[in-house]
Amino acid sequence: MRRVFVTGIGAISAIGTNVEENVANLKAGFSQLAPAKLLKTALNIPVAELALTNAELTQMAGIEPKETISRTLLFGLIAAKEAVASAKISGKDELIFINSCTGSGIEVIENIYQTPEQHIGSIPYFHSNEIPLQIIEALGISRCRQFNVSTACSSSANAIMLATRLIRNGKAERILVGGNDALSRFSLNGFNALEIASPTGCRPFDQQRDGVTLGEAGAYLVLESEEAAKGKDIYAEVSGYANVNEAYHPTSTTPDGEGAKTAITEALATAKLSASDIGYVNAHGTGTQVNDMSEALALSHTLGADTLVSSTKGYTGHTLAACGALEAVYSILAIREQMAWCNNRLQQPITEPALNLVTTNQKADIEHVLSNSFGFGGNDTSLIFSKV
Amino acid sequence: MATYITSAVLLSPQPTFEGALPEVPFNSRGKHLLCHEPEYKTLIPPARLRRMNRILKMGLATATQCINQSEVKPDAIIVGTGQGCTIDLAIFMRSCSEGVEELLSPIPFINSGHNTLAGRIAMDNQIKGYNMTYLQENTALESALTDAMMSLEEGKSNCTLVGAIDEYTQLSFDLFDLTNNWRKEDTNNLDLLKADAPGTIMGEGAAFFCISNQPTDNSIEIVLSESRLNIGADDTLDWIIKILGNNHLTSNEIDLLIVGRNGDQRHDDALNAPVEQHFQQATIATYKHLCGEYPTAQAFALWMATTTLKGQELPNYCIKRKGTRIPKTILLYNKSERNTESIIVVRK
Repeated sequence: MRRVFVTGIGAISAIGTNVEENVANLKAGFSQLAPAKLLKTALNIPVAELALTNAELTQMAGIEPKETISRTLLFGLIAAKEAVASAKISGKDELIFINSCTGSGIEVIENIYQTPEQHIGSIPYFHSNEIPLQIIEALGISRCRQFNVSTACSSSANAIMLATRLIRNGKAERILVGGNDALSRFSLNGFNALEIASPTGCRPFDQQRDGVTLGEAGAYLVLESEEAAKGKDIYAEVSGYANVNEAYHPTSTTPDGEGAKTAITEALATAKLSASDIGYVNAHGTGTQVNDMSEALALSHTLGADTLVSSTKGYTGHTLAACGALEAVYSILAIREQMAWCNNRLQQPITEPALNLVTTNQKADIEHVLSNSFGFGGNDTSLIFSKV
Repeated sequence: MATYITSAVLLSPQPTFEGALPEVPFNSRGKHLLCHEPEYKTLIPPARLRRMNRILKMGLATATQCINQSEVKPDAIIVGTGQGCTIDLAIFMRSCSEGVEELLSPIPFINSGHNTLAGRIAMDNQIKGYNMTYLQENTALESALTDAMMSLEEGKSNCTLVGAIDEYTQLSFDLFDLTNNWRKEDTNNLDLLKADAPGTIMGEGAAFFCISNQPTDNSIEIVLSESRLNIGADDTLDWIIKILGNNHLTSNEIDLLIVGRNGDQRHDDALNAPVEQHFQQATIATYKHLCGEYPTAQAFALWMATTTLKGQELPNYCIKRKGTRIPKTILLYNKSERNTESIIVVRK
């Protein structure tokens, strides 16, 4: 099997418009969960919203201003460009593009569908290819194989798994992979209707946790085969992956974390690692009662009690389809900085099961990071990133 | 390593669910075609049916029939869709766009998730392996097949259930009507490819295939599945020839070419004629006059290819240009003016 290296990363989220801004705010313990200022919604619940307008993001993305533009697309453009630049590749290099969104530009569609005659230019967003198409065009790529993954909150983790498999199996040399999702009334109301939207701001793994805080992000990785990556700076290796289905409930996880246990165990097996090799876990940790408990049980069952564990959703909120890629970037940064990120906003850590929940950013020897992403539809994915 | 289609089931506007194309095809005048739906309660427990939207019923019934007909039982599920569950998307969008953002039912939100169907099939059949959904305009089936073939090669799966599904909804019809995708006049679907008019008719369909690494008596080899985004490059034919070559095939070996002509006079010839002219020896067949245009329509062609390889003679109403050879190797080709192109090859 061929090895798969990360040679480029890009990220934009509520805590930064590029990788280094994200790192600075992770280190500073900065986050701001508050009712939306830019998204038009009647719901008065906290979100993790990036404080930049679409016009400002359009300028940052380096594209022509348009009357209607998808914020999801803008997040994608900005992060994809950063990843491509950091890998020092160009549109002329042959690559595969794997994207993921929960809905493609839903925040545009929800504004146009009542009076579509007035928004004809926005209708292409109803095509599920519109966002990837605009991204590759902006990158100067005229043709490429393209995949678009949509498995709810595990989407971009599954996209990374697919990219890794394609390279390992010799089907590709170089892949740009990631995901993007902007805040939308649709998602916010969906989580609110499910009664899992936090009224106070998410607090993963806290005894008083009261639900999810939604966020918005775009995050991309450039993955290359060992051969293609020769002579380049390498951020990390994607060493393990697994996806399983719980076959249990449309939106809820099994109380005992059975699916997560299997995903973690299989990811360790693909990486040929044992539980004690994992130095830090970037958990899915959404902040709901059910998810955090079942994930905690799965982690305590599969890993040692001293393994450092955190969810970075206290910083960024839950960025849905983007979270797998965003947290992959944070996992890779944990390796680069040799730092386990804290559970921001955690006050009263759960005690049962016993986990080593990081309360302040902590220097540590981190060789291997486990990153979990779980989605509706019983979709459980675990990835492992390793120091090279 | 070779991979095989061990069962194939298609729910479409034609009575295909029982396994063959009809002698006389269904036809009607209009701007869209709807599936010829089976008695769902024979395939899905009635108590569960009540809570399902139409696309879930279509998908689950087709998947169930496909699993039942396969000798090898699937251990993984991959679904491709161009638009997902649009009805529930519209319902939930409407409910939270009218200023009243409280006390909403979460059911349409849950059902609008693009991977709801793949999750539901897993639940109902207790399939706990790999579970994936591709959301792609026109190329979701091709991505799903590529992934399935790789899973089998890796030995991670012995049999993967691959599905392709899209439904007609008023919302998608109306939106794309504004961008002139559809015919302005009512059209009889059987005349779709003859008429000299812009636009096509909207269709829908659900198709499921069991793909296995173990051949059975009736199985058909799936050789390749490729797609790409292509912004304006005029090298489609070179791309096809190169892929065939990579798979040790020559153009001359293609006995049957199934093309995605949809009757839109603005694009049909430009997108299809160069490829049709290249494969001189091949019979050329069409299908979108039978099922309408929808993002995963190439699944109709794949099902048609499997029935042909199993021995059903291709009906005359599918044939555009008759060749002389009995089809053993079949190329499916679908290119859209929206920058997607894809090919699939299957053989006996």
